[in-house]
Amino acid sequence: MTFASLKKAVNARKWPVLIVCLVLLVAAPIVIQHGLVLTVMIYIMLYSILSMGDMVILGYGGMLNMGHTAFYGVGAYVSALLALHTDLPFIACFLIAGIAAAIFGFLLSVPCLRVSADFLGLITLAFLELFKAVVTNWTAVTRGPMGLVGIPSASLFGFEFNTQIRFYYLIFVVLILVYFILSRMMKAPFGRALQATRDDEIGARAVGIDVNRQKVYAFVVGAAVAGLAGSLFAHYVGFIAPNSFALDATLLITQMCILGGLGSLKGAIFGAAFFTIMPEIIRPLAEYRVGVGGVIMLLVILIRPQGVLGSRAFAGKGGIFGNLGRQLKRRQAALARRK
Amino acid sequence: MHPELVYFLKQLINGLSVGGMYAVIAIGYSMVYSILYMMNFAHGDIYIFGTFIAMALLASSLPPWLAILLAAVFGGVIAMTVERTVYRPVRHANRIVPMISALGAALVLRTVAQVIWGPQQIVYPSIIPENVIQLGDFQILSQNILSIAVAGACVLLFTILIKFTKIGKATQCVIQDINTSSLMGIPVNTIIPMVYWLGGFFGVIGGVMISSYYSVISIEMGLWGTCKAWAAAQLGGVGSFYGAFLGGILLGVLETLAAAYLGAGFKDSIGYIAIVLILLFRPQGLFGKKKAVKV
Repeated sequence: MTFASLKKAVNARKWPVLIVCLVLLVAAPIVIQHGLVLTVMIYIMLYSILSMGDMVILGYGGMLNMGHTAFYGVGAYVSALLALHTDLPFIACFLIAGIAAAIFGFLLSVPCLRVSADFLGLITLAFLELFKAVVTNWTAVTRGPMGLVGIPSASLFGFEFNTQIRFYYLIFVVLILVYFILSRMMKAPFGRALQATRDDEIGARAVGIDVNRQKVYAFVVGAAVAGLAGSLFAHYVGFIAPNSFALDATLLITQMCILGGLGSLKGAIFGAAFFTIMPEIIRPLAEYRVGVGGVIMLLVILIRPQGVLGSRAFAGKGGIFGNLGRQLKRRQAALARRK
Repeated sequence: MHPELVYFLKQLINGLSVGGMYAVIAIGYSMVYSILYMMNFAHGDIYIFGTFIAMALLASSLPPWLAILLAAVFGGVIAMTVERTVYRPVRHANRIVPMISALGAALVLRTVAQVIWGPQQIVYPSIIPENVIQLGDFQILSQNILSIAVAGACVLLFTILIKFTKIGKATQCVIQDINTSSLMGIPVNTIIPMVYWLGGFFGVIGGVMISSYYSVISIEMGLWGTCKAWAAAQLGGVGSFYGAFLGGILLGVLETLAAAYLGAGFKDSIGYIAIVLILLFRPQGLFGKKKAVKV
């Protein structure tokens, strides 16, 4: 069965498939009861939220964002500090974390309006480095490299999400909400205008789209989502340190977006699942693990350059099979001419 | 001389020698970057791999210059192989996509290096004996002079290659326009791997210099090097090699002075922030040309 026919079969029975998936996911923690599997699933959902935020900026907006973990870190630190030093309820910390990250996203996007995608990557990279330097050196507040410890677990109306199963349901609900809101948003005028801006900035401007506004909104939305994920992370693990928000994590999120498929929220979730499950499966390979992971990633992207669930528009003429097919066609044409 | 001035001059020399090494790495990066506009996230790992090989060769009985040259040639071959196997199939895809294939190649290289040399930091041998050269009140380390001299030699070699050879002229054409130059009979698919080869070659030379200057090497330094080279290339301006060279030197000086006067904790971020501030006023880079956008 090829990928296209599989996709078609799923699309034809959209609702049954969706309901079965939801039921499976809701039932999973009760049935499985296995610590490692639950942890992996929680991380998949956490990374899904994060990479969906990046997908808005990178996939739908076409802007290279190397500072995504800085937004994530802002969310985590704001939420953790509020929970440690004030007696605000979790929900307030959670929302303020999102708002704080969104403010940083806004501030960062303003100087970015006049520059190209690569330079934008450099600016966001600089932001990430600055964030790391501030968090590491401002020891009075953040305790520097030692990190913040003893962050209370999330609680809602007196109900504590202090076990893995409880937290699983919390993050599951947040994931569904974020997915729903973002997928609506990307189909609304804002999302359409953003995609038009990505595909052809001058063309979009010519048909009356305020290009700069779309870019700023994309940054604000993406950063806010990352901030929410950061808050969840802080309250789940209970310990945050500057190391969690390094460049490697940004690159990992970028990989999730690209491999899942640019311009597809489902792709972001797929990418998150892929990059969380794959290292666990190939863990027995020990020191060869990273390299084998790289090879698997390369094979996937060479076969489907647009990402697994991405739209064909991103692939261009690339891809191993595309190239082979073209060469085959050319050879057949040459043979036919010779006859 | 005033002690403050001596301190400043000393830091300036340090900055120049660090910057010279960044510059050599950035030249290679900038060449690749200006042809395909592709962010080469494997550049750092390729040159670190070559630097490891240089370390192995330096331990043998070869003379140091030959060992470094051989390692540099080999680094170029790795860069070429990476281009052929993972970049070319996705060259026509969206330009963010090759980033992930670069990262995949980087992971593979990192693993190979880790299996051979181990994940920990290793002490890198110094190429020349450490001497202090006395100039009045002023002392210069021989390491500093070596790295500045190597940077100068590299830029000279590079100029000769690009300005006066047929291949160099073809490279300039390809940088201006890939399609037109392939129509004019320039073998684009030969020129591009060659440019990658040069990128790897200069990268390894810079990497050996930088590792022997800090006398440490670890596989984690690759990503760091990629970011520095990328920043330097952007600062100098895309498509301008001398821009990348001067951008690298400026980055090194800025970082060293920031570390000397503001504390080492903010060293990396000050460099980036200075670059961002400069680029906000000159988005095309210090020496880049403004490109008109065709509709």
